[in-house]
Amino acid sequence: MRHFKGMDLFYRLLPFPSWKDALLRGHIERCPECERCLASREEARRILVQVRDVGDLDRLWPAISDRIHGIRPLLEPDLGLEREAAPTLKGGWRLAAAAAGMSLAVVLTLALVNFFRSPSISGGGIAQGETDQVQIHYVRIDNEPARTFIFKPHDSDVVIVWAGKNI
Amino acid sequence: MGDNELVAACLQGQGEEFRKIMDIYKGPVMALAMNILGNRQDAEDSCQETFIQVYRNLGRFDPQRSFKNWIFTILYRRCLDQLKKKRRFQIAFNKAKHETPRGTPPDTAGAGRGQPLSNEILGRLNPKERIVLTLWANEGFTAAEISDVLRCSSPTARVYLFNARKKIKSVLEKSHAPF
Repeated sequence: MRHFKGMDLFYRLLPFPSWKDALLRGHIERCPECERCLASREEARRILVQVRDVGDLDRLWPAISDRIHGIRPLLEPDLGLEREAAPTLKGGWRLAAAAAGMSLAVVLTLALVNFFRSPSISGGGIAQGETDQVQIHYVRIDNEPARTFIFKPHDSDVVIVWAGKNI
Repeated sequence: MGDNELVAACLQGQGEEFRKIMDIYKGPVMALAMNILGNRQDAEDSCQETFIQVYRNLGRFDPQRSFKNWIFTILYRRCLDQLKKKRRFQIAFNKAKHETPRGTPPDTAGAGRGQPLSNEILGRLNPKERIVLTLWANEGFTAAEISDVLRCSSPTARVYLFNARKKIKSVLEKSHAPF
């Protein structure tokens, strides 16, 4: 029983019918322990109405006969039957919705990761403190130590960092 | 005479042949309708509508397909329509009574005679699960055949069947559990 509950939980977590189907065919339908936790054909038959239970259906034909009298079977499409195609379309929409949902989830995850990572990404040699102070620990150009200049105008938040070769 | 021959005879204007088709399928169709709808009156209405629609669309039947599955597909659609209609009526009725709509309660009259538990159990299944369970248990259909009736994929049919079997087993075990 515990085994089936575990499988059932796993089954519920799977998002697509095709994945669930793979689990059903790959394990649940073959496992005797899982099979015991599902109703058998006999058990299902006991609660379902059988053909022998439907009783007398003799009055069905006169009612139908009256309504089809004089009607010839149609050869052109009928709107009621055209709806048979609907599930395919619905399935397509479901797939599209699932794909859109997954894309949204990926974008949100990336956005969150970027949001939380951004404070630590402060540039190669530049460390930014809580104040406006800007420090450069080390800059190399062509594997040689370089000269650096930092310029911050008084009336602006802009900081200009300039690095040049030591000639 | 096979189904395809009977259909061909009907299309040639032999209306009486349609009665033969109806005699072959009225039992399984009625049983299926009763299992989906849960009561005899609605099932009879759906059966009638189904056979009329079958007759009107005989020319569109694809002989490559199973005739039985084709009838069951039409019946399934009619039953869903009937359930929608009933739900709409129930909502309107509840509004008129200034009550909160609760959907359609399962009607216990007629189905599963002598088994008051049956409708209570079947009420826990949605219409798709009911039809899938009926086709599997009563008609011995495989997932592929069920998918042909429901016009869905085989994996989807297998998923519906699994859910239905699991729910039924759980309710049966609870109902047999000692108090």
